[in-house]
Amino acid sequence: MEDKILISVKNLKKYFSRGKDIVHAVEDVSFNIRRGETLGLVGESGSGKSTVARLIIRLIDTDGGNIIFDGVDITTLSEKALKPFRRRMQIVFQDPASSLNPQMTVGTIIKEQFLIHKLGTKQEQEKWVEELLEKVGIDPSFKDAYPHEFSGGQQQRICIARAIALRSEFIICDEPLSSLDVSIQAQIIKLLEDLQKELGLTYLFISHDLAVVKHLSDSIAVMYLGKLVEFSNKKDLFSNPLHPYTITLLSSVPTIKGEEKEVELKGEPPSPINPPEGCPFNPRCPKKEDICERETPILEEICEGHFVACHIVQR
Amino acid sequence: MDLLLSIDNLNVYFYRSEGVLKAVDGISYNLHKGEVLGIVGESGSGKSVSVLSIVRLLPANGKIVDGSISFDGKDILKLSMNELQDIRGKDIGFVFQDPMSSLNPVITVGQQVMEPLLWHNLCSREEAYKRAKNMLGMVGIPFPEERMKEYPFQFSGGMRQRVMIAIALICNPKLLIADEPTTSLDVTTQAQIIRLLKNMRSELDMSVILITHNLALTSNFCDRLIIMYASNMMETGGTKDVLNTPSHPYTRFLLDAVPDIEVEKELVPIPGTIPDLINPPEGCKFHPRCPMSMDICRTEKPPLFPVGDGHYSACWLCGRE
Amino acid sequence: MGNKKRIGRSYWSNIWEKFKRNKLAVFGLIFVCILILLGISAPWLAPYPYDEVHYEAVWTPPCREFLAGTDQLGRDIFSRLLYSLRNAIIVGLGAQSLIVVIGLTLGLIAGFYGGKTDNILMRIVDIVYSFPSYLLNIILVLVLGRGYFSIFVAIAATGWAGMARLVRGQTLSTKSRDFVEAARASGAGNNRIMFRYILPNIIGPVIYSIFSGIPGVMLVESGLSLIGLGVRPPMPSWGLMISEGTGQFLYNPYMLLAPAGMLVLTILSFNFVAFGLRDALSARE
Repeated sequence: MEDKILISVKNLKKYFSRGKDIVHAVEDVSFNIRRGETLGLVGESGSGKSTVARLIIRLIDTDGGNIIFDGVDITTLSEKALKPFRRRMQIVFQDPASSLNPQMTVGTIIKEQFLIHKLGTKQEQEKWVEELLEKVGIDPSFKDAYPHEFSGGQQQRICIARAIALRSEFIICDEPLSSLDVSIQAQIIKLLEDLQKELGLTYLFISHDLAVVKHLSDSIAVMYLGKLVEFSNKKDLFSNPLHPYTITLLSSVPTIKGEEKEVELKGEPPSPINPPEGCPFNPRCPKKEDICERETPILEEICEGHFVACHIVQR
Repeated sequence: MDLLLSIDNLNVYFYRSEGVLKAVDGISYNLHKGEVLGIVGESGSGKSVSVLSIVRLLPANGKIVDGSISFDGKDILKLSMNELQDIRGKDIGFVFQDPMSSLNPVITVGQQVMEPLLWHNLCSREEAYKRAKNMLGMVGIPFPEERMKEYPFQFSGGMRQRVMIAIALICNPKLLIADEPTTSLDVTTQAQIIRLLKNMRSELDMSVILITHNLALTSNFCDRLIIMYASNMMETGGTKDVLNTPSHPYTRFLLDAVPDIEVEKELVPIPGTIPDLINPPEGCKFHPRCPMSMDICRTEKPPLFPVGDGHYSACWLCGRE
Repeated sequence: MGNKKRIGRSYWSNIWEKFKRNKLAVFGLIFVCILILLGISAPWLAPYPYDEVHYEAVWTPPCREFLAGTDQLGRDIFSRLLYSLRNAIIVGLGAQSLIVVIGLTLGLIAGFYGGKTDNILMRIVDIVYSFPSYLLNIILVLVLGRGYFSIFVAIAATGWAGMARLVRGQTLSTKSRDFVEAARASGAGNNRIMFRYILPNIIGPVIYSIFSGIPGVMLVESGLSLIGLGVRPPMPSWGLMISEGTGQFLYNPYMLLAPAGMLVLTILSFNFVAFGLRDALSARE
């Protein structure tokens, strides 16, 4: 079903230099997202998941690998050649307050999208802005208000309105809920779900909250220290997690039922500046063997659609 | 069980240029020795302020205008600053959300762990050093002796929070107040820290107040829960009772609005936004967002109605026969 | 629309709200406006031309005829104060405009493009910064000859570096904010990002810097006139008047007190405005 794939990432690499050190932010990350589906990208802080988002949307340049959007390799396109693709993919950030230009009214913020791409007449633009605000649940009569006059949840709605303004097909949500209150988070989840249904959107949903990711995603990718350690559809990942890191991650999530879980992760995530040799998880892994310290495991398909990068599981 | 802390009709106001903000609006609860109490609420619900008032740690524009607080037999509101300082850090330990800004970046970790002992003149320097070393070992810091010479920036986030816990516990407090201790940490580290707090509680036999916005976090740690919303107590009771048979619509909403990793469910978002606390709604603070609100909810503030054994709910629905 | 709610209060009207709460700053602003008006209308307000000598009335203490007394040539000090004010304001605004033009442009370019451009521009800034600026001012005035223009150039030649540094820093931090990233992700070009996203968001600190810089510029001008390098006499300047007054302090203290007092008052009022602006800009909602 290759033709259904909207975005495909192959062996993505990104290194940052920090003084003399090199930060291995993203290393050999590959995955596909099918049209109309949601890929949940999970990982702890420093796992490189936000860097992946910025690489895909070409806010930063890659150090290797390819990004293929709807069959076109956009990895090295010039800003000019990229412009039609910019229309088709958008991003929603974590902190809505800093994602909105404080000097513009929310109407202008959304209208900017049409001005940048020279779409519509003035009257049409005004009409679209009102329709978009309506769609995300903001009273259109507030279009002349400034971002600071809205609550965090409303600001995030405005960010979402901006993201869907150009009828983009693909939207990256980079931790869009983590700065919001619990009662507001559900509203935004619901909004994202409804918009996906209505507009057929494809999401890359980045989060550290596994429960939210489970709720929203069709398939899930787990990152650890810049590498993809497991990739699978949602059902398999949660019912049959294979990578030892995924297993500990899942057992760390607190639940309302509150059953005591046995697996606990020892130690701290190592620094991406000098990642460990071999498997990135080996210093903390309860199942570690000699080979894990020597060779980096490659992501392999264990059963249909379930990929794992672990020597032990692969045997 | 013996009573350790008793708060009665606490009212805390913040005086802002825009008006008076009722940060805590008439809250009463008790805490027994050895008990773990969870206070759950969203931002601005007054959950932190209600607890920081116990040691009168309030911003300059905040004032306790009414109520009484009795801790370990002492009337907190009548104590002098010196007497209060005796309690802070010695009888009551604190762990805050951000371990980086809570630690002094230019003093070694060892010194910071020893300091509460020295301030309160509890022991000699040598003794303090020994106790600090043991405490750091107890909170799970490997090679405590070496790491005592290091500075906070040399510790990871999770390790820093362990250091904070060591500082809070070094004087064997009767009460540990943990204000969102895991919010800035990753999931796996969060699990470690909660487990550590649990172990330390049983080892040192102290009471704990855990302030959090995450209901799930309380489920296997807290004995009792208080659910707060807009400066008011909405529901309180045993953790199991509150989570399994929630009686307040807000609590029910909280449970339905948060996805759970184990339960596949349709999310029911709470409509509307958190009210402006300077001009709060009349009656029940939750009524504008509550689908079950009745006429009385709009005009009169509901008292706590008993709904079970030690389980109370501030909702008029529970007050009807 | 028909919505009764108070909406559409922009970033700037918020700052103005906060600024208004600061009594001292508002007072300073009113005073600054008065000073500028006085300076502009000096030729009409002054009772005497600044260079008209009254030999019959040298060293007259303040009286009804000469509001602030007269100097050693019998010139009316009040009129000379007004003209000095006018000079100070011309120099302050003129030099500050030049500083803003150079500093804003270079700072914006350095911060926005980064990399090599930034490196080269900032090394130049470092060099200019490390120069003893007063000395450079003197040399430049000597080379260019006395006059308004050479004073502007002399002051701006060293003053722009601070502005460039400020603008560069602000640009760098604004550039990495999410709304700029979002605009870039939508395909906004460099010019659009620079003028619609970055510039409006850094203009606050720039205005603060303009206000807080004016007193400094006025002081430099006074310093130059003190050693005879300011505006060309007989055109008066506070520096010149202070230097003349110093020798007379024991006999005719008003000759020193009047210009010194005016200088202090002017500088203070500009500073009050600047501090008020700073507080209003940094206050978080």
